[in-house]
Amino acid sequence: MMFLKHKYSTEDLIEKCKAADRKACEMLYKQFASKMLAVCLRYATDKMEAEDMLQNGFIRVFNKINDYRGDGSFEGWMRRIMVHCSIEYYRKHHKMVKVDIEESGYEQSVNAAAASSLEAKDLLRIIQELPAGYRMVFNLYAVEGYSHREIAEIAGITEGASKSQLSRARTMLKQRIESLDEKKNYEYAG
Amino acid sequence: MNMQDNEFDDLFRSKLGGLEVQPSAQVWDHIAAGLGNSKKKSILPMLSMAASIVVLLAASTWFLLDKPVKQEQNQVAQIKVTPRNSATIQPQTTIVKQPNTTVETAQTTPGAALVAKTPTAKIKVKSVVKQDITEPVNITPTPVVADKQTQQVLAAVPTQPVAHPVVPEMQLAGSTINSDAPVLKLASTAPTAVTASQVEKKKKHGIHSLGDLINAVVSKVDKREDKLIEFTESDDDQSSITGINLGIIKIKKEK
Repeated sequence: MMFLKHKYSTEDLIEKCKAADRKACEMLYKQFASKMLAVCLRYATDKMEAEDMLQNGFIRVFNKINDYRGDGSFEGWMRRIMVHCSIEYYRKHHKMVKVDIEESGYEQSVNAAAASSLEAKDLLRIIQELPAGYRMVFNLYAVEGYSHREIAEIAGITEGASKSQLSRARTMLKQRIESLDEKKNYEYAG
Repeated sequence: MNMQDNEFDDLFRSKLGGLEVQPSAQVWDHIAAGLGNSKKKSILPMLSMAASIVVLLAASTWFLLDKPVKQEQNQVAQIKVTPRNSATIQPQTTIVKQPNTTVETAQTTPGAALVAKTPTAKIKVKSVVKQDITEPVNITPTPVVADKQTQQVLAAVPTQPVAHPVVPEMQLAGSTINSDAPVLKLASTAPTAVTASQVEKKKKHGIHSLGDLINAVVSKVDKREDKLIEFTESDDDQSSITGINLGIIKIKKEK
């Protein structure tokens, strides 16, 4: 892996991929696959689903590689394709299930120290446990940094729905972090 | 200490943004297969377009040539109807002995006249006449029986070899005649042997290019000596058209 990176720069590989060089495509895939799988995992419920998304995403990356003109980072361009493919996959395989959670009057609070102590894989797990719609909006807004207007366009929902789903997603996540923190404290004490 | 919403979001972004998870090995295989399929698809429409053009052209010429062929077949059928006995053979031998009469009938029968419009047919008629004349004949004064049967055979005989290069079911017609007319057998078997050797020669050349493919398809459909469309049999990629035969219009490049 490492020596390949030294042999060909990403730009070289992109140029070769544009000329339909299969070997270069594989090298490019190996260079970015693990980063892109992490993106897909945030939109999926498990690794199998994420790998399906990754597969669709890379097929599109190679089919559209001639559209990449070199403005902006290649990784960012790829990441956007992965996000779009993940949302498409989710739309195809999951019906938008409306989950009604009780609108609690108070804002759920979370201990900063408790949240920070959680590892990436724990955070990933609690995101994957969210209802699909919440998961999508939270990812797009909080991690990808899209605005509500952009999310409305990408996900095919209204801006209002995007906002309400984001706040519900946050509430659910905070509840989960709290319960995880309590469990940890209990384990230490016990 | 409670977290603000943006702090909360930042926590997820920072912790998950740089995450890497190795995918399982078969994912690349699926991607490679997916890319392979899309490439194959891009070639398919080109091939199907070429094939449909060939089929369309072949069908149209077949339709154009259909009328004369049918008439000839009717006359071949007439021969079949005549009873197979020695009486019918005798009048046939008289045809050979009197070449002038056969030529005349050939020109008067409607079937032969129609076929004579195409250049190939003309040549064939001539060859028949030649063969009739050069045939070593010992003139025995057998009485010419001018009954209805003889006239039928008279009308049928000159057109029979003409039908040969066009009608694919020639062997069927030829075999019925073989049993009845030993003289006609000579005339009909000679061209069959030629075409058989031609086919064998063609088959030795494999399909290496699109031109060869079209040649192979056309030869299946078009049984004439000069095909509807012919390409060079060279092994290089750029095959060019060497012959076109649309019945009335015929172009052939000599090698």
